[in-house]
Amino acid sequence: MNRLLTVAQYEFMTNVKKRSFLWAVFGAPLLSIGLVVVITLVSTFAAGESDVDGENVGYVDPALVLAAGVPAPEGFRAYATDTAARAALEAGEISVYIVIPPVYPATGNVSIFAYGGVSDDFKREVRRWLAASAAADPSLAGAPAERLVNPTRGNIVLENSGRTLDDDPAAFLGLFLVPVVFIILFMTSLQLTSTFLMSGVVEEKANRIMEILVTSVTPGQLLGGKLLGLGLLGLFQVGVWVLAILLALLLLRGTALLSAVVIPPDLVLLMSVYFVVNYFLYASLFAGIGAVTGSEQEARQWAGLLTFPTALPLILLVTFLADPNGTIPTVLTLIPFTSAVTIILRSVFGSVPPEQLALSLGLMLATTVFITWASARVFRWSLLLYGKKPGPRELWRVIRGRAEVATTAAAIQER
Amino acid sequence: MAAHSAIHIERINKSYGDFRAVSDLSFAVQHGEIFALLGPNGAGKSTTIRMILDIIQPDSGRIAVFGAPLTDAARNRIGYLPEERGLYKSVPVLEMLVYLGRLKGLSGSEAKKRGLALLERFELAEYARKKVSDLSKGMQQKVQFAVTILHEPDLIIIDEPFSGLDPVNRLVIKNLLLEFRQRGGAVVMSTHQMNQVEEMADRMLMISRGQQKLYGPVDDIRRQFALHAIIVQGSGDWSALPGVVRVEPGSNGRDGVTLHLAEKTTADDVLAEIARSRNTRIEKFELAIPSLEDIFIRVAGKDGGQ
Repeated sequence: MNRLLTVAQYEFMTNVKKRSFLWAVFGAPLLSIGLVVVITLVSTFAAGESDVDGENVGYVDPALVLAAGVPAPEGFRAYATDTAARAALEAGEISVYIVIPPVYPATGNVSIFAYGGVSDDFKREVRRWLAASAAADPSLAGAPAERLVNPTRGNIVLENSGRTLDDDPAAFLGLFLVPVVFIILFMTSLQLTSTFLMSGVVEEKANRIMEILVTSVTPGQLLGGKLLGLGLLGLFQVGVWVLAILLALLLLRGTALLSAVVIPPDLVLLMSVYFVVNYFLYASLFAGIGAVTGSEQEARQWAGLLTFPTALPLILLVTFLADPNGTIPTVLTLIPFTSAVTIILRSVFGSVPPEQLALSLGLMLATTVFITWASARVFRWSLLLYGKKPGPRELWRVIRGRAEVATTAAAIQER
Repeated sequence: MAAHSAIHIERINKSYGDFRAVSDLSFAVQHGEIFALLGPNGAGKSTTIRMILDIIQPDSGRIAVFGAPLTDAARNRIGYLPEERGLYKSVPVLEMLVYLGRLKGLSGSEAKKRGLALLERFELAEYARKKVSDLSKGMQQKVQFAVTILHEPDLIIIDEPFSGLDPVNRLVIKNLLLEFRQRGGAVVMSTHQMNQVEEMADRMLMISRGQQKLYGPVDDIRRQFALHAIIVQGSGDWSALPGVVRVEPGSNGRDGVTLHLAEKTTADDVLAEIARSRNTRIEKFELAIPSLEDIFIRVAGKDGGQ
């Protein structure tokens, strides 16, 4: 156990100082923060430009539901029809117009049409006006009291999902923000730590320092130490990123985007579990590959190929938007290599049936345990194997515990 | 030191499929001796060493290290320098020494202290914080040796200890090994440099095709291979001497000629004849004891080794 910890500490300390790690941990978030700040500034500036301050707003109230006695805010212009308002918008006379449908008293729904974003100030002004109107006109059929409290309810309800959004583009982004950040974090961290693990093993084999290592530690201690050390490195990376995100949120305090960010606790828990289990799945797989392949280049090719499935759900994003509980998302939920990202996306757009969630987690745990066990066997067997690469059949024999038979050709060639 | 051998091997066998890598091999290595493990390439030396180190297990037979099957504690008392040298190239020298020392059970501070002392001894102190890749090949060899002895082992298993070293550093390593023996340490040295074995080794084992060929004190083995012949240097008609059946010019690179003697003739008889003879003048007279290299070639060659 002591030696396992020594290996873990060494792996952590040597890799944490690597330039590639420092760049991934600090460089990338700094760049992201910079990007977010720039985007926020630009959008604020853009919002300011298109800000509706009462001089360029149109409104259409064909059914005359609004109280005649309450004047529209200053600069609001009435249009008789949607068509007239749209023409004015397109001509640049106004930058936004509101349509108050006849069902407004009952539903509270109003439609806002604009090319750019609309500011919170604008929305507040519209709400004040509508509330004043509701208060002034008892003839406002439906639910005037309700309209006093909630003058507008311009929610977008996502199909197939229990989640609703404000009539605000930021809200849509806000819902995506946490899962997307998770997926990016998950994939970079996985890629980085697993690649470190794999290239470390390849280097130790290529440098033949493995011969010295295995006379000091058992292959199990070596593999365990590497998995632990680099796992902690991955957590360290995640920690730094979470801090960076909190900092970014601080910078964005008070903006529409931040107020719309949704962090459902169930999703956070799910993400954490999948993150940890997936790390062990990939890390032990990569350790096995590193032990078998002779060169870093080849190992990287394998790594690229094997991490592709994690990104597959993102590539098929449209399928998830159309039907998060369709066949493809369901199948991807059950495949351990694609399940992490799939589950997150499905949970954002809809809800995953509990039995599917349980099956997915069970399958992933079982696969992870099997791969860690098989990798440990392959790892032990192939540490001192130079020059010759075992074929799939030979590897299968090793996994089944027929290692001595499998070493024949390699051992003879080696000596 | 305990009474048992450093290594005791009893009838070990190891096969890879149909290939018999080691066959019925037995030997022992004592504390306070340098033991040479010899044999042509592919003879089974590496397999034997790996079995001693418990990297692979024998199919049958018994291996005891410090009197018992290899334990973690015993592992900490072994220093191993494999033929294929390996170091972490992008890690500073001292940092790597500390890591490998800790894996051998040293505390971090102790490993650092000993690492610095060894680097000092090898005149590498100024490179302690340099990356291994910044060192010359010879310096890396010395660092490698430092890794092997950092934890002050009781047994050193070392494959080709002098390869890649210049004469000065060869002497440094040689003195270190002799010192180590003097302190009661056991050295197993696998090498093809026969002159080093003649100079340093107390006993030896030669294997070929996985089987024991020669085993015992180096001097005894050389004497066993002594020809019924003498080497003389001087002038005269050697073939005319009574009891000399054949005269062979040279003697494996040594000066002089080799006189092969009749079955019942002894070296003393020939010396007496030379003294009596007026036709011969002698400058050197010695028994034809072959070098280890000759013995190696003879035994390995006969066995079809390369």
